[in-house]
Amino acid sequence: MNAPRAARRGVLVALTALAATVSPAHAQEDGDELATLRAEVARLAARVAELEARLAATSSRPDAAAPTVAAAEPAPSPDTPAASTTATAQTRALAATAPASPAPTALPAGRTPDGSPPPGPRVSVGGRVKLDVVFNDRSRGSGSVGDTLLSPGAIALDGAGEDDQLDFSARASRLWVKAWQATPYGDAGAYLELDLLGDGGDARISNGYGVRLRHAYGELGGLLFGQTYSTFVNVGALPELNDDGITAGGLNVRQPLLRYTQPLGGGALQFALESPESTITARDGRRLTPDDDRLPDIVLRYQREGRFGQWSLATMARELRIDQGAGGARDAVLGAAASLAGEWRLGLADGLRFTAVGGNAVGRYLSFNAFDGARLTARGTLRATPMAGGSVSWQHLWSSHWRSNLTAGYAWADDHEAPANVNVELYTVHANLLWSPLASTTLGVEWIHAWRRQVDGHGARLNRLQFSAVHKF
Amino acid sequence: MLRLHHWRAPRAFAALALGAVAACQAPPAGPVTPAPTAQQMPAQTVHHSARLRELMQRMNAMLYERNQTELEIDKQRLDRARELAAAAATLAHEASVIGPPGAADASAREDFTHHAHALANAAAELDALAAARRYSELSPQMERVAHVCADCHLRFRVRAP
Repeated sequence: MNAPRAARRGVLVALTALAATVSPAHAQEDGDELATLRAEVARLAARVAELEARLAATSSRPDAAAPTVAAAEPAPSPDTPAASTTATAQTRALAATAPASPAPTALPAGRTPDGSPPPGPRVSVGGRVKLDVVFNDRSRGSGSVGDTLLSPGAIALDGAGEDDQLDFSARASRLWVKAWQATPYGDAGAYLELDLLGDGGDARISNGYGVRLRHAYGELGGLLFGQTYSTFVNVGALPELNDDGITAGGLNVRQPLLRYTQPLGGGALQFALESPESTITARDGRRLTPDDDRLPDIVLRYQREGRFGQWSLATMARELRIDQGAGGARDAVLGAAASLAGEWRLGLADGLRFTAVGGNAVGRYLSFNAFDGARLTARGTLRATPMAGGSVSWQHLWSSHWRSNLTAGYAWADDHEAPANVNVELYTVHANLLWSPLASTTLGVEWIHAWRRQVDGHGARLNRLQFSAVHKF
Repeated sequence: MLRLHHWRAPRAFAALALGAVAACQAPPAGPVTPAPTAQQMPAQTVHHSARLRELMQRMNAMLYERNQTELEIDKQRLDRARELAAAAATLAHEASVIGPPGAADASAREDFTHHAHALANAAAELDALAAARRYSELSPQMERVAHVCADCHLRFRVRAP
């Protein structure tokens, strides 16, 4: 309660100072200035009345009675443990200097507690440095990004890949810039994030690699525009892994989009129009990305959070299309997909993250495009491919610095008439042990097992041991 | 502008928050005020104390988040900070009404009330900072909340049920 008193005292001092300033001599010299000062006094008086009313309202609340200003510093107790002496001194200082307050009251967005607008845009730069040391018992060959980022739909077939390979990489390091500002329309923010997983580079001399765009988006109130995670993806449900790739049954797509978020029923409803991209299996088994789309991917998602954790239910409608011009295939097919994902907290030390997805328009959204969205039939028409998948990740905190994640995922596509080299089934298992001596630094080891099967029955297995060190700055 | 201090404060906060949690779980050796049992703590207080511990744990977990964008993490930290401030303020209010556990003398009662006031103050300041979207100041302020929690727990040995 000291703050309102101090505020009132300050205002009264200001009023006194103003009153002293508004002398008859000054008034005679400049009538306009007097009028201005009178208006200012009236404004300040109204402000005082407003503060008085707010104080009265606060004092009348039933929960406002107990915490009053701490009066005297208590005498040190002989029972106080020596280890808490420093903290005790800080607590006393806090109790003595800051005004006690009842339960916080909500303030409108973008306003400071005294009602004034906050300062202009705040910009900060940060990033992370990450080293991955990966040992694979199977590789697709020289320069394969899949040797450091797991793509379960693309691991080398049994008997076809190269064996026992070691890779060092810092390409998953990132740099980001973020900005934030309060506006009359709500909070405005901008975010840009890059990594080094772009093209180029080799491991002979310089290990230089191209920069790749991860995120570039702006926000204004409930509106988001730019490139970031698809609305169909519940990012909070993604497991904590050393691997920056994907699990079987996992969703992870970043793309340009336009999204609006509306609070609804204690949660939030999101509607988004997102960049389309059809992936189609040709009759000879090749993957086609014809870039012939004419309608955006449409996503509707509801998400909610509580003490139990968080969950989201999303639906998506897509058009898959190909137009190869005269003499080629020309067709389009509509499809839909749904996903349920979230995190279920199990006490202070455990949590379960999960994703379940299914439909005939999931396509490239699932497991790094392990399955194509549609297939060209012998008649030259498109057949949307039904598929389903899911992943579950259990996290356990062993202590304040150590934690583990055990993750399993599975995905399946229903198209056994597809060409022989097309994936129909895959699963992955990740198990890791992570140590964070500091909040900004994490070191960990992870074992990964991945498997996939094609239409022709050929399988592929991968075992990977990955050490990672990450430092955020 | 490179804000290297951005991660120092969270680190310090994490250490203190974890220290506060550890204080709940591992009472120090030596003569201290007798610990209350779960039966001696009103159900509401137990509930809000657990809630505060849970929120601190969630804030701590967010420091290790790998998948969300930093802008999204900022928003979630802001929401958690306001929840944490509300829980701390409620707990401080209840503590000041209930008083210290067990048969405490006048000095202990005064000390306990002092801690309750300090927690209320720290909570109010945290909420004000969150309302003003002063992201960089949230972690140092949560550090103060954690200080008060750890200090009170060490002094009165209030154990979680």
